[in-house]
Amino acid sequence: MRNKLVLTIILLTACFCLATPVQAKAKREKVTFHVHLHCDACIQKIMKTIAFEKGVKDIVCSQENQTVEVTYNAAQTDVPTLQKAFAKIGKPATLLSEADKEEHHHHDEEACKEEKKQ
Amino acid sequence: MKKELLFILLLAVLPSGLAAQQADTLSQADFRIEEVTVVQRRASIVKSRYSPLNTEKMTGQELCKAACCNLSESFETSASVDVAYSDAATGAKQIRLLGLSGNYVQLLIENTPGIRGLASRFGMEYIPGPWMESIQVSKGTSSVVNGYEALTGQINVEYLKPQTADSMTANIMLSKDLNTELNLTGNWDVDSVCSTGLLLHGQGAFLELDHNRDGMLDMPRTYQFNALNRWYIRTGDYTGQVLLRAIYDRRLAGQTHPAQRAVEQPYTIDLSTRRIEGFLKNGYVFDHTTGMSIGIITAASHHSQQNRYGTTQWNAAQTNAALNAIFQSNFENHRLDPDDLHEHKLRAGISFNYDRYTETLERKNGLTDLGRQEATPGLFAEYTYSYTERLTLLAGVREDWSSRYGFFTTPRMNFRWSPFDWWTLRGSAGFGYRSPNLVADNAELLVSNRITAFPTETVQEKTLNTGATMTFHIPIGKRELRLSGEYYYTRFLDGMLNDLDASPQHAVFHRLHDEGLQYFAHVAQIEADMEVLRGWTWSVAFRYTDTRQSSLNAVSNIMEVRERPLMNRFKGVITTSYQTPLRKWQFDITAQFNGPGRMPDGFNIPAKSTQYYTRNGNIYHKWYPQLLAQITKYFRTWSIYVGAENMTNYTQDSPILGESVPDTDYINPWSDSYDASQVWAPIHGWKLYAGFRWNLERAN
Repeated sequence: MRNKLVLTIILLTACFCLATPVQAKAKREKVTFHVHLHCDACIQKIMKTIAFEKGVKDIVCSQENQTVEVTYNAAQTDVPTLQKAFAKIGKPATLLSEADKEEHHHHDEEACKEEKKQ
Repeated sequence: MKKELLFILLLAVLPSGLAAQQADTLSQADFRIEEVTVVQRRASIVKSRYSPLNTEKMTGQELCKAACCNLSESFETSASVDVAYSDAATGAKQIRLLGLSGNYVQLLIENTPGIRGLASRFGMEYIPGPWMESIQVSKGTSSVVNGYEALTGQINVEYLKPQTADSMTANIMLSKDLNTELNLTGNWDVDSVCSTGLLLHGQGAFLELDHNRDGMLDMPRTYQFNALNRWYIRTGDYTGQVLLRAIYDRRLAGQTHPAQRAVEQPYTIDLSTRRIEGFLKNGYVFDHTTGMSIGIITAASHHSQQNRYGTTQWNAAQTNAALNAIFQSNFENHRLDPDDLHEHKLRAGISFNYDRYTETLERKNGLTDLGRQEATPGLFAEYTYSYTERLTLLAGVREDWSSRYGFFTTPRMNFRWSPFDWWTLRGSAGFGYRSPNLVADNAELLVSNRITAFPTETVQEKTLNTGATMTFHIPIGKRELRLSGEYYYTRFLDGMLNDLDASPQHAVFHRLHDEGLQYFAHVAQIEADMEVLRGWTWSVAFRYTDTRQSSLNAVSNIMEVRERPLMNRFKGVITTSYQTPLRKWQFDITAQFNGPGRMPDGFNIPAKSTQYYTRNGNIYHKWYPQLLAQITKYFRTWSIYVGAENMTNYTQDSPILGESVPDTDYINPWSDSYDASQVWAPIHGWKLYAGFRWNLERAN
């Protein structure tokens, strides 16, 4: 029983390590988009779709700032391709310049489509 | 060895998440979900921060941390709700909340009467996991709007909504014992005002297994078909919903394999259930300024079952019709004055409930006719006062009249005070009532040869429940640690108390108030949870339960107040969950530590078992651990998961009591001492399962 438990823990740790993306010779770049994030469902939609786009390595959404920061492998994708992917799910993404970053500190008070239907 | 390797290879998957949706608020008290702003990981259990009720909402993400085939398995990671098999033969599961049986928890389906009466035996298994959008668990007495039956708390299940759920989903699950489940759901917009949903479920358990070699199947062969259709309409200020559901469930257990029939006549269990139910909801908003609205809910169900346990035959049917009409006003005129920080809300209405039971029980001691009917009209009113987000007071009262038990009053009070953002205090007190269904509430007695006289005349169950909760939200860096402590006390003021201590060959029912007996439970719980690193959450909880009742001490022949049998004195739960940044992998592990519990007087410790000890003349079972884990891999539209339950392979020694058949290890279910209801730990060992989920999202 004890051996089984130890083996289990080892296997789980191994799986945990495997799940971490292998850092190959990826040229990682970051871009921050302004995206309307009405509510949590919008963030979930982005995580379910953009996360599976080729070359995407990380996504950080900020509902407070209405921004989405995407880390991507520049050898596999680029900013226009990412913007197309956002447009495809009905969440147009516009580039956020450094100056814009200071301005976009507003909440979008409009209820989410899902909230309205409730 | 092969089994071990297979087990280890398959041990790698963890749960997935579903979108958390807001609950249907047509007839619920104020409930604002804690908004998540800059957090990648959606909370899987959302503890309400603003509601005066002590409510936790389990989102789809939490529901899928374990196998979660149906509602009964949804609480495996919960420290508040316990799930356990109530006997070793039929697979029936019972939940417990605040130290008392799940019979005292009001189980609602979208705020309509859900699992009650005859359905309480297997009702939770009629609600498949993939059908559920969320579950809200409220501890302590809650709102009077949903009735008087929430004695220890309320569990409200929300199904997938046709207006917001994914267009289509499919889920297949297979376990190592070849239990198979299939779920299909479809939700579509018919036009701009109308949506419809169709949910289908089928399951089958095809193998006959007897790992502990006691001559009885470990788990019943279960077949279930379940279908639900619902419609949602919203035009202007009117919202309407219709739901219809049909279930067929069949369970075969006992000695079904020829090799086990080492006695004259095979002992078989055959449970067959047919159920149809539906509800109609209408809501209309009169005035958006004052928030004046009305909601009318009508529900009906017909439940029919034929249950055979050996030569015991329990046939029953229940027809239920219920109405709840709620008028609500938020008195929002004051909002015209921006300095007015006080909010008032009033909800009032009428309700009507009708139950008709035809029920017969045929046992060795003859035939008992337990047919009865009860009509209960009622009035209720509830007032809520809020001062900003710092203080909320909720006070409600109901007056009902039962055709069986007469008039009864249900006052309830809840408050929430948050002097600082990081500190919240809640308190509640109130009464609860319930009409007992002695056979359905104690059906595990039918899987035994205990002589039980089920009285046809009963008293209404009445409780007083009080409790307090303190919660701290402590910011640590960019994250937050949530710490909470709570205490609840529930005391029965009247009811039917079953006594298993009087004799191992009998079960006796007492009338609490008339006989001056006691039955009460103290529960204290502390809990901490936090997202410690991005995507990695931990939750640790410890609960102490002290449930006591009057029962006959067989040695001294005096009624004494002692620990209620088979209640764990403590429970510890540690849950950890990790989700990779892009949520392509998820790992979940839950460890449970279930404390000792007292066995009924006259219990014979099975030969060679080291699972028991004695203290002060009472026999107790020892504490035991449980470990479950699951790993999920996500793809764009589908996911696969693999998991294991009871990984410590802990099972109860000889869960079925009785005389042995000579020259075998088999138990003779026809012997007087046969009793399969003294179950306190898993009956079967480790369980492995794998599944596949596919979903088609709604087009925008």
